[in-house]
Amino acid sequence: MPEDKLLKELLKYLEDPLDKKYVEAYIHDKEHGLSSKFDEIVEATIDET
Amino acid sequence: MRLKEVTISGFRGFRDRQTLNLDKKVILTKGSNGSGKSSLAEALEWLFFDEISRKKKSLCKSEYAGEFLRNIHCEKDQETFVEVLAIINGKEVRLKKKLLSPEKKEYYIDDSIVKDFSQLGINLAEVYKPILSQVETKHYVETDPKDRWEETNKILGLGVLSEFREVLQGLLSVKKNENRYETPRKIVYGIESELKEFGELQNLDEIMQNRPFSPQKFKKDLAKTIIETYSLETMTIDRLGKTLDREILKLAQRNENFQAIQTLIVPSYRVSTYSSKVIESFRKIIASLKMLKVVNVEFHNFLEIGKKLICNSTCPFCLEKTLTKEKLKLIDERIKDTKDSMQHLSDVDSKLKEISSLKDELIQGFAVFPTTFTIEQIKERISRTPEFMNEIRKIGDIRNMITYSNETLVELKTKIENLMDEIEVVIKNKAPFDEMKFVAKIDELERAANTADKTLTQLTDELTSLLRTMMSKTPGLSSKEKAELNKALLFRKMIDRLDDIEYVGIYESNLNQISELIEKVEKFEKTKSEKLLTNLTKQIKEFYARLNPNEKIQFSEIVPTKGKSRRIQIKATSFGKTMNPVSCFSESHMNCLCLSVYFSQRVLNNPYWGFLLLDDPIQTMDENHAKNLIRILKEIAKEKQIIVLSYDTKFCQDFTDLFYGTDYIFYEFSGYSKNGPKIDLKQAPFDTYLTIARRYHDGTMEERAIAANNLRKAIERFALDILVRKGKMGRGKALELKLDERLEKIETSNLMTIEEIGEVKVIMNVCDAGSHEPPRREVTPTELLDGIVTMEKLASKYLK
Repeated sequence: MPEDKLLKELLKYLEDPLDKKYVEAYIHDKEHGLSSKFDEIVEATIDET
Repeated sequence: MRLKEVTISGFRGFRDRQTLNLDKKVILTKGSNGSGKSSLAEALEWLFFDEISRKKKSLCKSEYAGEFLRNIHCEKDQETFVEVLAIINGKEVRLKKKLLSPEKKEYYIDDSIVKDFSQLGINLAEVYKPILSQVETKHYVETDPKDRWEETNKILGLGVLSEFREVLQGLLSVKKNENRYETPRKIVYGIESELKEFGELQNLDEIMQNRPFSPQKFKKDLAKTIIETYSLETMTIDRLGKTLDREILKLAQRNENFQAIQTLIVPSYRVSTYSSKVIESFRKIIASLKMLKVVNVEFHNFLEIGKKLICNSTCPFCLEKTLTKEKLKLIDERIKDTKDSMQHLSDVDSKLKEISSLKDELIQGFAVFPTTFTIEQIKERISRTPEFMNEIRKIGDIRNMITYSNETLVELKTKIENLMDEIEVVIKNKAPFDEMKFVAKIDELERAANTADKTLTQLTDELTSLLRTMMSKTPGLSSKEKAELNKALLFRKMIDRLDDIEYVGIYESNLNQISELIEKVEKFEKTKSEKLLTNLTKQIKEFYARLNPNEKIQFSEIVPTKGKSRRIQIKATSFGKTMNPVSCFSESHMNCLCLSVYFSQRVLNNPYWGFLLLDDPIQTMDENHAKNLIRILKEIAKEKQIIVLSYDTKFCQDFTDLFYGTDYIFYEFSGYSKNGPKIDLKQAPFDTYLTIARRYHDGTMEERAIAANNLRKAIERFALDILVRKGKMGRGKALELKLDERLEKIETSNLMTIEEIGEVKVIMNVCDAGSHEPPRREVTPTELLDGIVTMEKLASKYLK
């Protein structure tokens, strides 16, 4: 499945840096077979408080 | 890329290591339900794409947590791996992937460890998956018309976008129900509803609910409103808080029962402020602990020293550096991982110190409570007001709740300290780190933190409600004065709860961001799918027509509906008239449509893969549709290697009839034990059986039994081919004959000499003796080799 290609295209399509951050973290986790980077981004965003 | 051989060990349904020869153009695998066929498809999916469709399609992802890929009957030290021998650009390449833990894998190309398979010169994540899994077809067939857009996108290869949306959707629902959000959300909700009682404070209510939330603007407007309300000079929020305290005192002192109420005000705020701080700190600690996945100092030290030692060393024979760049990179990555873990550990340590001081502060706060505010004192002070009798009882309950809250916090702190001690032991003694045990303890901690959180929230709620009830029941204040007092208390509460208001505001702004991102992804997905479907409609239509040549219903096109709608419209005609496929398309039509979309996109439009794999493709198709599918496959087989898995006996029979005599092999998964599927080679060319016999003829007793069994199958196939090719007998009729009968027919038809038939019979006796379990007698490697050579000689004479 052309997953990388699609997600990279999605990255180009999105303008908001935070949106991009979510996609990048998702790509990272897919590549590494983990769910840590994405959670980290979410936690970091939530912890910005 | 096409496949020559696959070896599976300890993976899903395969416990024992098994190798399947795939070195044919067409491979059919038949097996009843649960025989392990899909494990073969999943092994290839996992090897190349690091996922299995069954998990992706499951609504309950937790069922696929942990070691679901590893066969449950594996011995502790047994390896879990999938390996293929593939042909890439005309060269044989061995690709292997080992599962080390649920999150760790190792990749090998030709026995050398690599980071992943990107060295093959192509990013596998950028090509369409040539495997159509059983669940993909099933979902497409059974899906509700309203979800067809999404399911069609998945077959088209756009699944990653809907997966990403699903992850975001899941994240939203988890985050909306998180405990650490729930408590401040409740407090902020209370403040919002109180604000609604005061028309003049609506602007504050609006700012609080504005997304994205601006903490600075809110703080500024709150201070401005308080200053204007009480005609004060400009001052900081902290000073405003103290000024408000004086306002509250001034109003409350007019009341005869104020002293009793006053005793409640201070501890009430203290408990609520401390409790939210402490719980938040606990949660931060737990989050840090979760990140602490690998703590193995011994490994770290070993790598550091090892790297220094061998970095500059050379091989004494070839004088080349023994450490390749790839290996060095891998070592560096592992060192970095370990260092990261150490950093988390030190974060946890500093957070533990922070929590320790917060905890002490909280306990001091509680300590003040009973000395200044005993039940007896309250009773004495408020007993003059009969309406307060209920509150006296409540105060007793609250006292008990405080004790209980205190205990839960101490328990939580002790659990964290114990875990920290264990981690220290691992570091100091270089003991092995038990990750599973660690994760279980973190879960336990989370549960304890949730209990403490709920208890403290309840306590805070009780105290606030008690205070407000007592205020409202207090005689001596006019309604205007009560309203003033309530407003002052509300302002005071907002100052005290600024952190919570900010937290909820930013938290919800982030949730909003995620919701908007979901919409953006959906819009992107819609554009992509529209474009693909426009380009592929012709091919899809052709495949569909080939699957249903004489059908009264013909598919014409798939059109995504315009605008924001997530629907898809399947258009069809019946004898030239446009019809509504939602009501007329049966599951079988959907099955055909699924295969048509798959063939158009993931087979024809997918040049990298020289093979395709269909797992149970004929789920709801009748015999005729299935036969049409086989014809399409025969066409595709000219270009690509085909692997089909099915449980259907009739389909497999039709398949064999069409592919018989071609480069074709037929496996049967004939039984399942805890060792894995029992795989028999049912219909294979003569030379395939002979190759297997040759491979095992000089092995252990069990291996020689395999060799004998395959040698016998080679003779059966030899006799069948002689009768069909030389004797012009129909294949079906020849298949009905037993081996003895086939040889007799060959003899009576003079297709071979009597001496040669005699030689074959001798080999048959050897095979019959050796292939039983246990063998009737142990056949020797020489006997087997003689048989193999004789059969090769005869095949060369009669079948070439």
